[in-house]
Amino acid sequence: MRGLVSFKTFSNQLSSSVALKCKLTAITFIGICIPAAILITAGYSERYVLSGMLGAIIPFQYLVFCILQNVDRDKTRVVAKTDTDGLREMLYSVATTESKGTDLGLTIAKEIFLQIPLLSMKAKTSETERMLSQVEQMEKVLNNQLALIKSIMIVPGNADIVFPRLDLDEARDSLIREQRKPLESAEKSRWFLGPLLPNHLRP
Amino acid sequence: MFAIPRFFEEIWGGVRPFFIKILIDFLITASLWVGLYLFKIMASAMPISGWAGELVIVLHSVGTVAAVGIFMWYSIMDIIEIKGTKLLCGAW
Repeated sequence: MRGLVSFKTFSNQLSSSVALKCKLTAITFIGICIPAAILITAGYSERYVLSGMLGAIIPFQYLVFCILQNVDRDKTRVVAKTDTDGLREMLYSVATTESKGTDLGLTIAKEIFLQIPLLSMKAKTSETERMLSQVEQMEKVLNNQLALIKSIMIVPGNADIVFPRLDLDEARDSLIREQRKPLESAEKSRWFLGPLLPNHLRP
Repeated sequence: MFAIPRFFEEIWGGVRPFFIKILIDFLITASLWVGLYLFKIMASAMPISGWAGELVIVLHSVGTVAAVGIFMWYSIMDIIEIKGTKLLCGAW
């Protein structure tokens, strides 16, 4: 969904992310300071240009943040679209692997945690029923794979190296909850906005 | 006797989250400021004539003002966020 992000989200993310602050500062310098300097050099009143620049900082950063969010979202969608069967293949490789190395366990767990949100993103953009069943299947597979990873991790001596404090059950539950949210909201939207949707998505 | 260190610890505990966030904001904006200052030193060591030289000088002043504005904006956002979090946690 394209559009403006809420100002509260913007301020929360700005406050919690140092990288975002650095990025926005650099963009502000390029997008506001340099044009302001050019205007002053061209003969505009310094008083007005500087006041305008200070006033424009917050709206400018907000707009830039919205654009960045939309770009990130589009990138995620593209990845989800092009990598639909990636998760299945990866999980299959996990199931069939003979290696019990701790680094492997770590990599696999990371990959699984990274792939699940992509599935939920895809669920937003394609047919809901098909994706719902696919996600449910994935949940089952995920449960099996998490059990496998846990069995790798409880090997004495290795347990302290890989995820010493990560509660896998809790992580799985929260991921499942997160991935169900868009599906549920998509279901509701589909029901209420049925007449506005394309034919193949109408209830 | 033991109450005094505890008193200072309590003060530090309250100030710490704000201090860290504001220090980060300061470093971000100071890096912009320092970069522009180096730019100015370079321009004075190797003078540029005409409108380009004037632009460089103006850019330094404008950047300094903008850095102050950005620092204030980020600091205010951080203070609001930390206060909001503490209110939610019931610790404020």
